[in-house]
Amino acid sequence: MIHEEEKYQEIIKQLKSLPRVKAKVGFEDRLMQRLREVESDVTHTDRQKSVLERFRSLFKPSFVPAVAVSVVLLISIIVYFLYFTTNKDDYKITLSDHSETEHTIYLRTKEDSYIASNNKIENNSRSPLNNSSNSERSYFFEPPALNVDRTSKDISNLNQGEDENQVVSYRDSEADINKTPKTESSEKVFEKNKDNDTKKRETNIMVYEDAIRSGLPPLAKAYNPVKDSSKQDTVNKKNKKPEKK
Amino acid sequence: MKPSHEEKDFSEFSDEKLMFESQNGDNKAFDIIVQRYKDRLTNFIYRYIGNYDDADDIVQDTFVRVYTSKHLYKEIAKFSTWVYTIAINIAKTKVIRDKKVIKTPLIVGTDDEQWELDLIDEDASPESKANSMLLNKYIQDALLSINELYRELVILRDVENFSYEEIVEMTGLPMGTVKSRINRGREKLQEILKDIYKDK
Repeated sequence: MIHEEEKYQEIIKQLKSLPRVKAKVGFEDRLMQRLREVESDVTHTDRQKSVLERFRSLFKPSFVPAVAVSVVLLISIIVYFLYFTTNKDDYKITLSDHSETEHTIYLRTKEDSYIASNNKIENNSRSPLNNSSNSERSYFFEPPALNVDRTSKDISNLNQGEDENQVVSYRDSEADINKTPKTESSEKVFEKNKDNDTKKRETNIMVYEDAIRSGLPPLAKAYNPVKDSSKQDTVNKKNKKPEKK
Repeated sequence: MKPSHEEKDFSEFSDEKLMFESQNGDNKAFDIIVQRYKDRLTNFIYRYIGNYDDADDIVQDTFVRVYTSKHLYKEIAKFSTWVYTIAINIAKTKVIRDKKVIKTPLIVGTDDEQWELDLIDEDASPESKANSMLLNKYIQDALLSINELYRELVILRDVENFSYEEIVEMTGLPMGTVKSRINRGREKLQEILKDIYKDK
């Protein structure tokens, strides 16, 4: 840098030797006058601004975009929170007051264990009244696996034509048996087959198979239930199938 | 009896301390600041824009700005750099404004009137006076002919004798840029004034 200064030594010297220009005469007086004017302008404008003018100054056209965005945001927030709180209330009602305000039907087994309800939220759940656990996971659980119904299972087996030795179970619940009207013909059939188990079973199986092949839907119509069904549950087709004439 | 309010002797106060007193409402401190800087600023602005009347207006504006925004000054910066920064900014604004508006002067003054400002030695002979005035006019014209970016920095460094650090603080430019621009400006001036040096 010193080298640079030396390089331009001549011009630097000339610039430094330039005469100093002084301020104009009366500079300070004019400055004081200007300062007084500035101060009086500031105070004058402050006094003149009325409340109405200040209120009007808030509604400038330049504020329109900012105000519009703010209003939209405000509305969005209000709508969001309204929606949120509404859902929350519904949920509360369902959980807390459902026994008084809603008619919720629970399906339960004989052992008093709940397996399902018509409530949308509590569907396939245990009874919320008997729920001892606070955790949500234990409250809602998977519905129990249902057994394949008898008719569809048998139809599929017959259609496939395989495993003739398969044991077919015909079991009606005791309640169904009791509900079924005991007609005279069924009593007679029962009496006839009572002494001859083998013959009865063969007859029943034949009736059952014919019914399925002919496409009759309800099996119960073709099959007359017997009271002592424990002995007639299982039939081995292969071993006890009579020769067809 | 002792006076209840002892008047302060501001003449020995630093610029920063005077500004502090001014911030506390002491107008006499501000008067001292004006006395100290009015000529320096007038010289600087005159060298920058080349018009004495405009320079006077700009310096007036600078002090008005200093007075109205004195509460913004903090002692972190030197007062001289702060006030010069204000003056430069006002001068630049004026230069830009004058470029946009094409002025038609109502009273056309001669260049000779302007030269009279540059009188340096009252006791010098008429011949040397004339030579000095002519030389000063050439240098001033050369200064005005170079780019504003170079001119501003060359004046601050070589006319007003500010250090490179102070110039960096005033302009906000990097040190390397300041140095290169100053040298570039000097080089340009030397090219313009080379005939004068040859004559010498």
